[in-house]
Amino acid sequence: MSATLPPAASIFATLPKGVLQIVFFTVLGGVVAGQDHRQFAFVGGLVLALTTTNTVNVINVPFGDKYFSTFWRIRHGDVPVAVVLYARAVPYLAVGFGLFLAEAAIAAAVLGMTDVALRLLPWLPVFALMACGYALLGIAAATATIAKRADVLAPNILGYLTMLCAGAFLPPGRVGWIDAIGSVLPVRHGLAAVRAGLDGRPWLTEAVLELVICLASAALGLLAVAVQTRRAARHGHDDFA
Amino acid sequence: MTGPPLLGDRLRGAAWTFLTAARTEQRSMRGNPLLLVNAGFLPVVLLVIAVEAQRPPADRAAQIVTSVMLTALWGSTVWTSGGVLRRERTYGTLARCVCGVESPTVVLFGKSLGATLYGVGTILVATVATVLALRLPVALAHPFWLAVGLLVVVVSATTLGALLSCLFLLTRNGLLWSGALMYPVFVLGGLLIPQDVLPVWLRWVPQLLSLRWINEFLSDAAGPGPSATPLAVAVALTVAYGVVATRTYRWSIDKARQRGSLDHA
Repeated sequence: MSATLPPAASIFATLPKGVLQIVFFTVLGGVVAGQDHRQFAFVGGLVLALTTTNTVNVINVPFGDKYFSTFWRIRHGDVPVAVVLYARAVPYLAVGFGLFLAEAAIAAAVLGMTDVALRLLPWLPVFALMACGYALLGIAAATATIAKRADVLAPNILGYLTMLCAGAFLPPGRVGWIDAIGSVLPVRHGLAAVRAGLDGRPWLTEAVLELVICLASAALGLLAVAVQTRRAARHGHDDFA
Repeated sequence: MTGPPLLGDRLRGAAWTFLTAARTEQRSMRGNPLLLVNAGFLPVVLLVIAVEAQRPPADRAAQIVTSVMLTALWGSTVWTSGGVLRRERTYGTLARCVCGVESPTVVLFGKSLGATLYGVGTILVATVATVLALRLPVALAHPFWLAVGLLVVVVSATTLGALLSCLFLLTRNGLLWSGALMYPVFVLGGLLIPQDVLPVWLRWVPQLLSLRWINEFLSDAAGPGPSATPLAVAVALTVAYGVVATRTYRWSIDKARQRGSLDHA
């Protein structure tokens, strides 16, 4: 697991991946939908790199306890399990966001889109909100499925759904079922808020919806932790196995 | 009477080892739903976003479908056949494999073939289902040459996977580098992003990837008519990958034996 990998290896493998992910989606936008789609795809590519490449590492928190069989110690501690879990997620989020800033700067320079990147600076709090929502839902999904050998599946499926349904590359309004799934997942509303802000349109409603989904993801995570903790106590195993 | 085995017996033994390794790897993959998800979801996502962003004309649709499949195959190769030796090391079976009677290279290529067939099958099913769901007008003008192209795809991805597997053997962070290697080829592989879109000084890079030549061959076979040149280049590159993979594997095993580090990089 990458939880056991040296930080330098993680950073040097993640940084180029994030940059190239942004470059790929931006250039692909120009190839399949014309040059006008490049800026749309660039903003979407930034969010995909932030969430599916950088923030996804946060699932190492529940994974770590499973693979090292350390959950019983947390369960018997004074601090509530959920608090420990979420507190340990913070460094992953912080490192992921720091890497994102570097990736965005490099990709913007490579693509000649520095002006767009600079216009996005005031919207960094919304990007942070999207990363939080994605991380919280990722933790919830990984924790809920950790006993079913599906723990690595849930974050991967979440990543693919985000790529498809977040409106990162495919503009909203093209495919109904994609819009429906995206509207209840993190990222889509935040991204819509950023795009609206860039165009000078009202953005607050979409940002509030992103916040609501972020809070709902946190609630799902708390529920998943409570269920797994109770399950571990009742069945006498403490490693989420 | 005893003596060295006859050539026929040796070939039969190697063939049995090769096929057994392929079957073993396929069984192993069936128990790993993550590989199925990665090979199945990526072509669906890429195809939907590429097609629905702007509906392509009929003559371009087949080209996009081919490019998406080969892009997904690269992603699958990195994780499946590219990870064969990494998984051997994780499970503690690498030392036993390289000390066996049969050649470890035969085992490696057999396992790589098993993984590739699994990935290609999953990608084909996912892509065909998506094409039907999206009602894409994909023409198959020369089915025989498409079948030939598919065969070359399997062989080429097998050797490419074996080569990657040997490279990942040189590091203990193979899992991390597997993830990092996907997008460079997505961008520079000449598949979904055409070679002429790249900066001039980078346009030589796709020429080194057999999948780019197979993409050209398959796109032509689906439309105007196949050309021999891209197929020949793809086959030549495939042979080169095989030679480099075999030598790298022997070299890395010899090094690991000398250092006593077969089961850890």
